Amino acid sequence: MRTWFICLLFGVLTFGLGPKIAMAQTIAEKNDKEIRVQEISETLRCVVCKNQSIADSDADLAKNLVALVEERVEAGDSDEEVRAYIVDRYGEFVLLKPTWSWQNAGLWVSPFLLFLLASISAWMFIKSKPKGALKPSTSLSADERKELDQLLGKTKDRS
Amino acid sequence: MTIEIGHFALCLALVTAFVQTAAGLWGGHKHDETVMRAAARAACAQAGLIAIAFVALTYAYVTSDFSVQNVYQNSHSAKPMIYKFAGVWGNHEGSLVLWMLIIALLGAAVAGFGRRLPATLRARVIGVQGLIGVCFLAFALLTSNAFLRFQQLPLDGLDLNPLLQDPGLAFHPPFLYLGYVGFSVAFSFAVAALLEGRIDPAWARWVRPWTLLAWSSLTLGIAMGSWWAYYELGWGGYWFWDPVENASLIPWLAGTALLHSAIVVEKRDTLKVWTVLMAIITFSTSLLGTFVVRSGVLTSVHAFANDPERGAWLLVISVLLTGGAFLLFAMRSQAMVAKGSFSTVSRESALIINNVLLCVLTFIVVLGTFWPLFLEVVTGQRITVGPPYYTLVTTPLMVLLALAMGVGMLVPWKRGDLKTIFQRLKWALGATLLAIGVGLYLSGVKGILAVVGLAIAIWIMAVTLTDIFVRMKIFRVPFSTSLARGMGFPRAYWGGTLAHFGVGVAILGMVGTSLWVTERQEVMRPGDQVEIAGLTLVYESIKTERISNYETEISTFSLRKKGRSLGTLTPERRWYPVAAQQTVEAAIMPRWAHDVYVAVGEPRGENEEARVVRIYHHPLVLYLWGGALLMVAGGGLSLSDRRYRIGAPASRRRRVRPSVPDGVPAE
Repeated sequence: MRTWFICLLFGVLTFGLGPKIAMAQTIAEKNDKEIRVQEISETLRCVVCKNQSIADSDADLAKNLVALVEERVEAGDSDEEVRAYIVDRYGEFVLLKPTWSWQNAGLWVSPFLLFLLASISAWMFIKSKPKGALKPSTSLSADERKELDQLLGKTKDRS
Repeated sequence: MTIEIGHFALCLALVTAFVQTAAGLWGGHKHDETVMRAAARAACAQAGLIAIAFVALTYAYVTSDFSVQNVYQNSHSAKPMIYKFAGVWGNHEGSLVLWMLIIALLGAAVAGFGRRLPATLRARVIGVQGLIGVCFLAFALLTSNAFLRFQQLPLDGLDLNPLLQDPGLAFHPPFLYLGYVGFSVAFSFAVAALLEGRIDPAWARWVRPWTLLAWSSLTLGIAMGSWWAYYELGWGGYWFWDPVENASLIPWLAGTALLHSAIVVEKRDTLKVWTVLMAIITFSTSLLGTFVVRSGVLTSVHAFANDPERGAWLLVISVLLTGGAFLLFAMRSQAMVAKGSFSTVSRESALIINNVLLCVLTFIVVLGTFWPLFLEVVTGQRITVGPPYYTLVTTPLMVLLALAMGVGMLVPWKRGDLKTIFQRLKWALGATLLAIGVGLYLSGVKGILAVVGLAIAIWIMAVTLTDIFVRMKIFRVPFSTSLARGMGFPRAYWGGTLAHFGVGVAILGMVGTSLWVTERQEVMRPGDQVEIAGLTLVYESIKTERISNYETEISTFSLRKKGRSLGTLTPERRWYPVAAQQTVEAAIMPRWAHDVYVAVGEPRGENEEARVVRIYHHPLVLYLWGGALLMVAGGGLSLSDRRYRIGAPASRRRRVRPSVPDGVPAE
């Protein structure tokens, strides 16, 4: 019963998931170059619209840029060459993914550094906890002992 | 006349807020019953006064009183009634009134429903809440007054930005603001606790419902916003890592961390200092978001107020409030000693890891949002930090977060052992490996990020189910006994579980749109048809209509599958003459596991009726909002848990009602 149930569960999860294998095939059928143009366009920002890639934008300028990408791909440029070509003309502003460069070092490295620092501090906190905190609970002070004895004594009396 | 009453009420509210602050803080300091009671009264009065101002402004909008500058700039007599009403908060000044109303209502709610709080703590919370009110009221009255009139009466208004003329406007901002501002209560509690110099599990129990309320509202607000963007902006996206969107995500991430660390304080009496810090940070990020949205320092799709001078004032407010809180924190935080102890493998540890990861995620979004600004100031060079950056940097952290979530749900408090946990997690691990296999088979190594997302989603859902099974002892005891066990669990448990499951479902939705999307762009005219993902879309007809304040071009499409009709879609292209702007209303046909999205664009080609049509087939995208709704439902369920009604909000239904009668001063 249990195995059967779990199989059913996985079945539902996976088939609900990959709904259209046919779709993956349509993507594969697409022309290779077309896919590349689409992929490159998704990494380039439309300069006149706000925060939209040229693949998504309806603006004329964005369409011209897509045409330009298409042209460069047709001419046999690699993905990087196409992007370099566009950056030469429009500046780094058009790149949705910032470059790996010294000026962006802080952008790329600091999340990693913070993660490292935070993890180490968390680890130290988790590890350091028990020593200091466990002590008070292991031994009772004289007053507490007295109080406890009294309480215990009372319950004994009652029973 | 009404607008003057509103204006006057707002001025009076500022004075009342001053009284509230002074009385709350002084009364709390001196343990003076009378003064503390005055603070509570002032909190109610302030809420009542701002409610009057809000009603007055709404009245001006509804009656199209164009002598009011704010109404003239953002409304039009022909605008449908719902947008006249919702238009109140469709602009900077008006939304600020709503913002202040929520702050004041929350303050009044603490005064009204916090009767069981220790008197001094309550007074101090009310006092700090009043201080936040003072800052924003002064800001509104001095720089962004919605109640100014014209000397000469204009004929008609300039109309509201057409993109905002959508039912989304009625609901998205109020929930979003309740989320942003809701964290102010956690902030006030944190500052009050620092002033008191003491935090105990009871404190965490009082803070949690407020945080939960804010978090749930923010989740709902963000989900609504992205749904709105999805159908209104017309290019099939729902999240663009845009600065203004990030501004709402940042407090959400920080708030999620706060929610989890508060649990540790409540249940285990440790992590106190950290939780206080998180409460302060969370509201700081809310303020930061406000600054980003309303100052115009960063370009965004969601243009709002773009006035650097106002931005400067908002920055001053943020620095004052958070700077003060941090200073207090630095001075007083040593006073709070943790008591609870735990071993390395324990739920405490898992929640600490959760907090580390959520904080780093928060930091990444802040960094990505402000880096272009920073670089431009320093080097003068303009760059863009777009979606590829965020996906690349956050995905590894999401993987770790999902792992911590899995372990955290199944490991007990105080002490657990890895072997048992692994034993319990093996089914979830199996499901995840299967998902990775299926994902790799379907999309290959190129879509590796999406496959990772898929694995995370399946893992989270599988772990949540495992947790339910283990706790209810399904398959171990008769089913009826399991059911009885399940019914006996506190609502907070079911709420948390539902929310966790929702996270998995939502991630599944995100993966769907990045993994299996089919997109087509065609020039079509009535009579044409196009195939997409095994479905046939037929362009039936096109017609033009004039409705209230716009003209619209309605296209009718029918969707068929193997000759069987599945329904019709009617995307529109609207023209708003007064605002001289065009909008695209996409049509979406939701199906169980996917949706078909059609947006009609510009005319193209020689035929007069030919249009550029964008068609998307989005598998699973609706799960994104389904998952978000599950999270909100989970939050709501937890809120209704009996344990949090003690000394905290009694019921949400009562809290929303503005408390007018109690406190309008007679003088």
